[in-house]
Amino acid sequence: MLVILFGVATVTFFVAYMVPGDPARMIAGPGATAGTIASIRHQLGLDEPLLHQYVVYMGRLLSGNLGISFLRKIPVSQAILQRLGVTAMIAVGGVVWELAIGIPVGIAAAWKPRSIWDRAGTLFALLGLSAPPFWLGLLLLYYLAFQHSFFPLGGIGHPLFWYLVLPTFTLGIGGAAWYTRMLRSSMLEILRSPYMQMARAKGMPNRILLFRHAMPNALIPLITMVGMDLAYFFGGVLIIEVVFGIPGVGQQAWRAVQVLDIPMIVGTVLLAAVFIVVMNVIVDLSYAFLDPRIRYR
Amino acid sequence: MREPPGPAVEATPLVMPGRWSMLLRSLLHDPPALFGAVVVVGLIVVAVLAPLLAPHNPLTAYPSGLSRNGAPLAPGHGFALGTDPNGRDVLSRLIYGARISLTIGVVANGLATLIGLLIGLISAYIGRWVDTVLMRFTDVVMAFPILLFAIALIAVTGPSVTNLIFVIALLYWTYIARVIHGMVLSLKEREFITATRTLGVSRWRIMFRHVLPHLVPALIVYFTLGVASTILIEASLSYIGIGVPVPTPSWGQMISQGQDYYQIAPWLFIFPGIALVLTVVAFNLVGDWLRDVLDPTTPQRR
Amino acid sequence: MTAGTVDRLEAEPLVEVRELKVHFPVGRSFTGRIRTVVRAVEGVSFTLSAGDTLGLAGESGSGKSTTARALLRIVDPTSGHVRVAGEDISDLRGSALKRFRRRMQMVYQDPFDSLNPRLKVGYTLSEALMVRGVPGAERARQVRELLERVGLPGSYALRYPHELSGGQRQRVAIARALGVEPAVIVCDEAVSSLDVSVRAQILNLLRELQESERLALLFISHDLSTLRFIASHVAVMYLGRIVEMGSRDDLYGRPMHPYTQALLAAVPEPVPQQPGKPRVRLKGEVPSVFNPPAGCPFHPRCPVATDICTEVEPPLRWKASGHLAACHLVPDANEAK
Repeated sequence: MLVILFGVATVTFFVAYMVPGDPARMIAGPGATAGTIASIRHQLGLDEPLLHQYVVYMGRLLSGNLGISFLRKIPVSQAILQRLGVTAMIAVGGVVWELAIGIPVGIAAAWKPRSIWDRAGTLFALLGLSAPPFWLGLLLLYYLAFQHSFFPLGGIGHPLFWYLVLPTFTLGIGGAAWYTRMLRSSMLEILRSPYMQMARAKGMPNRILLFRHAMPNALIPLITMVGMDLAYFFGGVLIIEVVFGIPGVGQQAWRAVQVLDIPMIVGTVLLAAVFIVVMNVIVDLSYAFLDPRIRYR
Repeated sequence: MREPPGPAVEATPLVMPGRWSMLLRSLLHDPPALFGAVVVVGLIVVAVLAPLLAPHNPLTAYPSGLSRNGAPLAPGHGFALGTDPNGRDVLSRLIYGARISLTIGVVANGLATLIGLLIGLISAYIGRWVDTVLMRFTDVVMAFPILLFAIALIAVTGPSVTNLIFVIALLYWTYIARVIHGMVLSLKEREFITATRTLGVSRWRIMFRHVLPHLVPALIVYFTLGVASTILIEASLSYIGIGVPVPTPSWGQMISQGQDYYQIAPWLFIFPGIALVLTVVAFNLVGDWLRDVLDPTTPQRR
Repeated sequence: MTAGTVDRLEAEPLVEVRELKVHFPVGRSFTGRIRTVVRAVEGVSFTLSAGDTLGLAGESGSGKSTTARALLRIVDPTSGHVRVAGEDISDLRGSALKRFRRRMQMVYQDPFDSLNPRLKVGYTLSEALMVRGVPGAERARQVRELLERVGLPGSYALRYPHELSGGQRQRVAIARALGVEPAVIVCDEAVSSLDVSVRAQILNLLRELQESERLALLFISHDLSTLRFIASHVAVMYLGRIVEMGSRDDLYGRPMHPYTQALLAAVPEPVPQQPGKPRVRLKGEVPSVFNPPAGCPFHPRCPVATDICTEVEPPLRWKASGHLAACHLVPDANEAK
């Protein structure tokens, strides 16, 4: 894992390094003299050789310093932390929807294969996977917030929960579709297994079969996937925040791209990647913990 | 004297006679796949024949395309699907958008598949430190969320269609690389590989003449499914504003534009979205069908 | 000359194996240290000369296949020496290893999987010729010749393996091995998955080829009747060691080791050759390679085991002229060779 983190940081460094344009000029502003720009450049250490800059960069990272945002003139880490709460809420909300929709639909589809439930569920999964989230969000906004004012037209306000319904739903729908498929196929596999057939032959009532035996086994891989989903959501949240106008980390990164605020862009990307790597490790560990078969490596 | 052929060891689709008619029949019996195939073919036709099919020039801002107070027109009256805020014809832009999105999707995915194939194949077959280094590198690239990283990369390189293709390819290859890596690892253990190695055949020849043919069915499946994903990625990037540069039409970009006017001109975002959904669904359906038909043992991908 | 090499008709051995050991590490503990070692081959020695056929007999787990694979450097020997045509090949690497590969080839057990199902037979064979350095223009013709040499029509070059029967596939495999013009061919259960009627054909083919090409054959099989047909000398392996080795007539006529006797007793014979031959019944199963018994590895199943058998491992020694056995209960020969 450490190797990967190291690699991630290095790659990010090179991306930051290769940006065209002069960061010193950007910080100095339009009316700055050449002297000011040069001194800023020296301050930032931009006139040092590549290796030197790299070492300084890595050192800064280890102390949590991600640089200063060109646009907002505050440390990137601070800017991100300010907005992290909102983004985290959306991400978690997305996961909630994912599971709330994906699990029941997936199980229903597996329980009665080839029935109307199954077909509808599969269709839902297909559409959910294929609809671009930004379009879906816009569609929902149009019909549910504009044409009929069930929900607010985006942004953040009170009650917070109300404002988050549409964004989190849009975010979660794709994952819900994915989980529907996954759960359906793993449930089907379990339901066909010899020990399930045995239980059924012994006359065990369906409800117990389903909840005590089939579901736990099918759900274990799901739990670990949720961890990874949460991690990757930080990428997808960007689109949601842009569509719904939500002031989170993603929207901040988007603005940063438009003005080429390199430290902000690079810092956000780096943090997202680090988060993913860490979640990956946590998920692997918890998988080994949850599945007794894997424990004896 | 010809002996009766032995039982087929595994499907060798490129060999048995009547293979194509079998494929066709399987397709005809599978309505979703058939639908998908029709759409995909239709899309290709539209993309190729765009100049002939588009009723107007997609880039031209027609004065007649705007209402008296400069608002875009609803569908009808000479502009079948309405116009955009610049007076450009939505239908024509949709058609040319098909061409752009499909081209980018296919080329980017093709490049990604090639990279992923080479990395997965070489690292898995040669093994040892090459494998470790390449797989770690794959892990590093996979750690970055695609959209965020694409944003950063395009910020560095500047938005253009070519850059877009390269950026998408450079981020998307990891999935295929992982799959191929796994497949090659197990293929390595097959007895004919051991036999050929013992014969003294060079490892490059083994990789490309012996292992690669076994990877082709999976490659076809993943390529098809991958086009769906790369089209979505391009649409997302265009939506954010760093994809296909204006005024070249791209569906994602059209939706982004439509967002500003969605309250008064919903047709601006609804139609490109439908086009996107249809395209992605179609490729997914065809990809799933190909998977069932070509190689039931391919691992299921995310 | 080490104790343990059987006298051969020819003077110069082509293949010399001395104290070959192959151990596999298995099961790493959490800290990465190796937990157990599988001693697949524990000190095997024999020689092989041109025109000779040595049979390697034994049940599964005896180490016979591993020995063959170590010979061909498919797996690496843990210790011991293998000399082929005078050259020690145990440590070869890279291009030297490649050069050696041409001298020894193998025909594998599974006729289905030893040929690439997606490649035409002709291509598979032409690769062997490529290794030999045959120029492109010549290859097609020589491929046809190879096919004909193993009794298949030249037109089969255009076929895929799944269009051929098991016996035909093995012929192709043999042709492939011949393609590089080896001096030694190892057959690892090469006929075991074929129908009995086809077996004889393939064995005859091998015999013919051996004569015409002056090949040395190492034939591995669990089936003693097959070996009786094709081998001139036979070594019986048990748990990674050779327990008996001798000429065919010696081994089949006067088996010394209890294990050999048991194996032979189990072979169904149409006409019982030796009335009054002791019926030796084996108890139990082959012990796990993870936990070999102390002393003689065979003693838990041996009907005549004594105390010393449980403590001291019997060395492989001359028990008669040209006949070796590893058993405490068989008296040594008076004269050592």
